[in-house]
Amino acid sequence: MFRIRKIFDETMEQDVDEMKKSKIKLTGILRVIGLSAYFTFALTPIIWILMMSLKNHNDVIATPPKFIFTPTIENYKAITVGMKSYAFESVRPDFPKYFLNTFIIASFTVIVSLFLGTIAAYSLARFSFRFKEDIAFTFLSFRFAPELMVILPLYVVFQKMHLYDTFVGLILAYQLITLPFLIWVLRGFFEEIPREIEQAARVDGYTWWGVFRRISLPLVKPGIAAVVVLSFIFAWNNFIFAMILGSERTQPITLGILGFIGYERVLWGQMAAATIICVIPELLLAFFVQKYIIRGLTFGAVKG
Amino acid sequence: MTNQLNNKFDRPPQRGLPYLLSLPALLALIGILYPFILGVYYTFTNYNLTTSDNIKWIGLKNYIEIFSETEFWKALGITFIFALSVVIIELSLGLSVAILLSHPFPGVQLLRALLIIPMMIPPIVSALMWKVILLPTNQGVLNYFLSFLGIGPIAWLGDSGTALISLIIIDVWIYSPFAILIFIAGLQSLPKEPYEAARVDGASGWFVFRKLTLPLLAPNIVLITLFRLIDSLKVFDIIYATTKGGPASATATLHIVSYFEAFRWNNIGRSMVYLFILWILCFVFAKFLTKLWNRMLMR
Amino acid sequence: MANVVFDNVSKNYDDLRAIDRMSFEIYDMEFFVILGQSGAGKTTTLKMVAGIEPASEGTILIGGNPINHLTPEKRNVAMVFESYALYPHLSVYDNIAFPFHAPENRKSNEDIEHSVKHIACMLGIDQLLGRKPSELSGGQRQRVALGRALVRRPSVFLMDEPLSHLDAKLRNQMRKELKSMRKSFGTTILYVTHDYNEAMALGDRIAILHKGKIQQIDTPDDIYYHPGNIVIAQSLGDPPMNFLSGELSFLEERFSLRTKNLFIPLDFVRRQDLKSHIGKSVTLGIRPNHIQINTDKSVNSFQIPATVFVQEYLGDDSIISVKIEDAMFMILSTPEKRYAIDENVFLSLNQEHTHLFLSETGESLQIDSGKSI
Repeated sequence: MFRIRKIFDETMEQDVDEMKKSKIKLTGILRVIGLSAYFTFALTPIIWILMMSLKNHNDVIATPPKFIFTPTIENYKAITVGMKSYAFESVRPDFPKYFLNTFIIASFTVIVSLFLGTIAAYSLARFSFRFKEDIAFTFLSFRFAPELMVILPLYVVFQKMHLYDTFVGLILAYQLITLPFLIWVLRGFFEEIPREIEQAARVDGYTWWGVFRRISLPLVKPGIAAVVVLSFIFAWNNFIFAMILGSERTQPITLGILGFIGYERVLWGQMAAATIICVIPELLLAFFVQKYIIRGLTFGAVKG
Repeated sequence: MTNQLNNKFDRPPQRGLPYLLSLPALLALIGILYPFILGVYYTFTNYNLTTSDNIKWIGLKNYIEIFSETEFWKALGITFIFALSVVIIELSLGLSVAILLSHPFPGVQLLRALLIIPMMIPPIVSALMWKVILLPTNQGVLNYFLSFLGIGPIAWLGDSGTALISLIIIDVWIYSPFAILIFIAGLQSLPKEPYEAARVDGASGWFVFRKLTLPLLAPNIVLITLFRLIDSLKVFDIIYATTKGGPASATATLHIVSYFEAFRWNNIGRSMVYLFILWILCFVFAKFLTKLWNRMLMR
Repeated sequence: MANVVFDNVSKNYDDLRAIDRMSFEIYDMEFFVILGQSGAGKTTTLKMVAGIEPASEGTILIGGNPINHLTPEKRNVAMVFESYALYPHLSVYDNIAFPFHAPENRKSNEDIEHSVKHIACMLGIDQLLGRKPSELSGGQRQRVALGRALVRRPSVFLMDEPLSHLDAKLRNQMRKELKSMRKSFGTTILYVTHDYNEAMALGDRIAILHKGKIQQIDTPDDIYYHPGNIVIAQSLGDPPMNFLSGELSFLEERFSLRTKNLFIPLDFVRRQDLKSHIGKSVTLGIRPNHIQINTDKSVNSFQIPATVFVQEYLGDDSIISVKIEDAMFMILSTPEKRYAIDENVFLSLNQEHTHLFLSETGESLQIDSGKSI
């Protein structure tokens, strides 16, 4: 009787093992299906645009869409150096200028923010003073304000102050994008430095400035690098500020890309090439600071 | 006498210093606050770009006018439908994909790295990419594939019935990686012991998920909701790049309407009313959700 | 190279009074230990000397000069932090050399190298100079922290529980090394700890700090054998001192402690002025090693009956917990003698080492009131 019972138990165990194994297999299959579905959704547009940028004009507008075609770089040529033979485009393309504009605006915006924000972030992290939290929250609250709420009145002010469509004006306005971000995220990095390390340096004979320069700043170097890269990307990606506060002279790449789709003609191929050129540098930058992206996008709320 | 001297010197020597150090940032803050307040002031005026020299205080006239127009209420409704849809879809899609990506398997690092691509591309460019995918005839990739299933072609962005859905798809494409990455971070920082205890107790997978995982992820859910709700309430770029509020105002959110009030009808006063109301909505939700988030962190 | 004087120093954090009117002097070249529980205000005291925390009231003088108004870098003190506070981005060499790059105590590069090497050799970390703090063990980090403080010639050397994060073995070893090195420090040392062994082993004098107040300052022996109050008696010794409360009574020219059922003679009490305390509640205190435990009742001397609660064997020692009425006593004994649970035993107290405290205030009834603070 006991023997039978034992055998019964053993077969039961085997069954359970089998069940577990098949369950693991099943979840594995479900995972593959689920991830394939999601990543098809996530990557198709990018791959499609990449393909489109390499198609000639006829292939681009082909119906049904063409998946096999002879790649050409004529779109890239057209938007960078210009192509005389090309049916639609002028001799001197504007795209390089837009690229340069964006580069100028984004770089200077980040430099100004870094200059204004680093010490403020340190001050908000380390010193205690009145209204500190109010000041910090006011910065944060503009992350959650509709952009036009500030830009529209700013447009009126800029018109009066002759800052409209100037690089200086845009770099100042772009501070709204980068400065609150930089202050909040850097503040978090500074707060992570153990207080005692800074106190030890004070006792070792340094003024607060010496401590900041020789201890705190070197310790948040990776944080600063991440914040600089992300601010640059945010500035690079911006559209609405430049659209409203700028015009021909300062037009950035985002508006330039939009310009390929006009009322009278749609230059899909060139738009695709411009998109690829616009996106590649920032993706390269982003992969370097991959570790900090979530932290950056949540204003430091998720540390990791 | 010495005591008095001492008391005077007792104070930390850098009393004014923090303010001095924050001064550049404080000036920047004033630079933000000044136009903001100016904007609120404009809501009470008849400020029009064509007659800009003659700004008159008209009290609540703009507000009364706008509240009595169906256009405003429709925009408010569209704004909320859009925002709530994307938040719900991004939360559920984000959690599902995060769970699939939270277990180690070959290639998982690469897939996680790929996730940042949609977030780093300018939203306006993403919208344009999707405009290509969603082209109304079989020229569009999506319609082409759907044609094999005998569906379509659908006009997507060109049809007032599907335009909002199209925008939701675009928004989900751009921002669900944000939710996925935050959920992955949350799933990875879950404590091990409760799960081991639950397994010892013989709890089923679904029960563990509902009673353990979801509550433990509550702070992440709040955080994602905070960022995604506010950002989708004030969505602008992807609509401007695709439908510009059309067709037939089917995608005219508050932010989009305010833009056209200002730059098509030149009416800054009315535009600012739209923006101010949108700002209040964003502010209230942001305040509530940040409070909730902070309270969750306290626990 | 300087004495340190606390003149009526207090520290408030909002409503909380962390340090209450602290007045004492640390002599030049003295190794002075502040002993107290966590939260007693030890670290606050150190940080006030270092200038990290400003004193709310009173004056701190180093070498006769008030320093309240000086920022930390101007005070010429060195400090070893409990967490070591090493600079994670600098090598061991640069950590130790760090103070010399400050404008306050700049030196030539050769001098720096000489000093760093000298200190590193002394601490036995000369092989580690190229490493980063993250590549060091706890003990090595501790030595680097010590080296960074020692490399200068500060007027005062502050140490905040420098050994508390080491494991027991390393802690004992470092304690010995600190003791042997103290001559070469050549400076006044203020050392805080919660470990009474450290305090006893290292200190020229010990100050007991409790809830922001200095309880007693004395040599280790004096504090151990003549605690001024119950708090002090409790903070020294492991297992801690045993206490038994009762009423002070005076019968037939003899003082005794009356508990529920016992009359314990207090022959060690000779002071006649205790008569004013007769009838008051007092607490008898005796250390575990000053009690003898017997299985038989002796005829010619007084013994306290007790029952064995539990016996713990700790290798060379054994701790026997016994119950006397409601009180629990711990007795240090040898492991050879074994007692059964609930066995009746008889305790005889070493009268010379028995203490008596007034229950209400906790103050000792044996020490001249002038001696305790």
